[in-house]
Amino acid sequence: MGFIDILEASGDLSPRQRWSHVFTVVFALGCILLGIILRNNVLFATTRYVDVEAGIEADYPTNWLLDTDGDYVFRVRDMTRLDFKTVIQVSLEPISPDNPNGRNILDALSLARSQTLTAYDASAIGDYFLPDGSPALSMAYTFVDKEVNPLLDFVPTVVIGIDILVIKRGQAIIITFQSDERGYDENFAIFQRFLETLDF
Amino acid sequence: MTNTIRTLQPRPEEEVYPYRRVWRSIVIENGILVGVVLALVFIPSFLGIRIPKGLQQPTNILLALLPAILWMIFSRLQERRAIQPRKGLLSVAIVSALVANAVGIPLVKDFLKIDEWLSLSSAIDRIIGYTLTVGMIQELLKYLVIRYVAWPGQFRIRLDGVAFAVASAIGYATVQNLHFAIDYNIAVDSMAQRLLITMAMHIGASVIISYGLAELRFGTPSPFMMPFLLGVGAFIVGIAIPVRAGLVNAGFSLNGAFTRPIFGLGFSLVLLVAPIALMAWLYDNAERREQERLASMEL
Repeated sequence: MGFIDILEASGDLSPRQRWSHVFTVVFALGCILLGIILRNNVLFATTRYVDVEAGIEADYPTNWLLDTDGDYVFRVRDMTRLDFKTVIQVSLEPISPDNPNGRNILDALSLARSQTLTAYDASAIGDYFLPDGSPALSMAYTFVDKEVNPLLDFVPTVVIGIDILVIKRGQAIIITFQSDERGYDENFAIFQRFLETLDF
Repeated sequence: MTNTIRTLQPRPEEEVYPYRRVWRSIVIENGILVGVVLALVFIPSFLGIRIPKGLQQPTNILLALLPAILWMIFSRLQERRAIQPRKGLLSVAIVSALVANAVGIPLVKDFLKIDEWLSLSSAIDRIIGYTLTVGMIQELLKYLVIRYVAWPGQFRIRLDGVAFAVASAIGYATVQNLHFAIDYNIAVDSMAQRLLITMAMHIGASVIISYGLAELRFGTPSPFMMPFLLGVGAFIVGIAIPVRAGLVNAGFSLNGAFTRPIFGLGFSLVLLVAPIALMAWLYDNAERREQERLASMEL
């Protein structure tokens, strides 16, 4: 056979090779950036909710289920979750003239929940500021969510909730957020984005 | 200038071939892998054998390591016997594995969170999404590893590209398979099927990228050829994940729901064989063109 001449490759590259490498990296990074935009569009897509009667507007996650049939203005839930369905709920309550800051509303809510929710435990009521700077009250709490149907195999879930109460136009607006504690941090970011768009 | 090198890949029919034959190694390694996967999928159901749940995860971990073990035996050790062994193969495999573990997998799993948004999208959206995210990240990382560890210094013949691409694919895929085997305690036959599609995806895409690197080293391609081939490699990944899931997953019918592993295995085999066959033909063509060019110069 003929002699195989193996030349040592030199370190310097031709302009063609150098440009090819630059184009490859730029092209790949551009595609990954497009992928991230695509992800954000799907993950953070929202739908506008408008209630003219209550004077409330907000953007909620597109794939969450909207419900307006209860004793609240509206409620949205993440039905894709296997365990506890993350909830964001907005309700209105009249304010008593004896207690204009609405603290008694949170106390009443806490009392009602302690009778219906398993292992309900509320922390103290504290001050809270909405993204637009409006002062509010907040109350955090935890409870255990259990499947009511005994025939279903279901491990109880620890739920963390937070109520934010704002006084506006002589009435109290209560914004409730409840999430499975394992996904709390992640869901709380969604709640914060919701609060940023909430207009009343 | 590196493009002025006038070396030729020796013809296989020549008496002494100084390099390890990469295509033969690929055929042997993947042939054994396909054999093991088919045996694990079909023999237990035919004989009614069930692997105890306690042995499931250790078996899956062993299975995840199988491609790397086969590569060590039929590529890395065989390389030592060659007259002109390739240097840096193990480095490429190890660096690819480390990059997959430190960058690729956390980026896809923890940052992009593919499962949360892509799995519910339409088929077209999933193909585009997987191509732009998983495919592009994987292939870019493997390209960068080969580019900075082995290219152009260790590329002496065109087929060196294939050898380094397979080393990179083995490193990356092994870490990916190990993550899956450790995170999910699934049945051994399901793990075997997943192993085959992962290997098919990685080897198919890497061999395509290797052609670009080899041409860039020995030929005078357009500077846009390499990004194009990287895109093709990413597209293979992008198409493989949703199509295979669609083929394997059970459809609803009045008779119940059953998975269809044969469709998935068939698709994995096509995905493994088609890019390798196509690239072997392209490599052969490129080599023949080079030989003809040199022959005409001698005349």
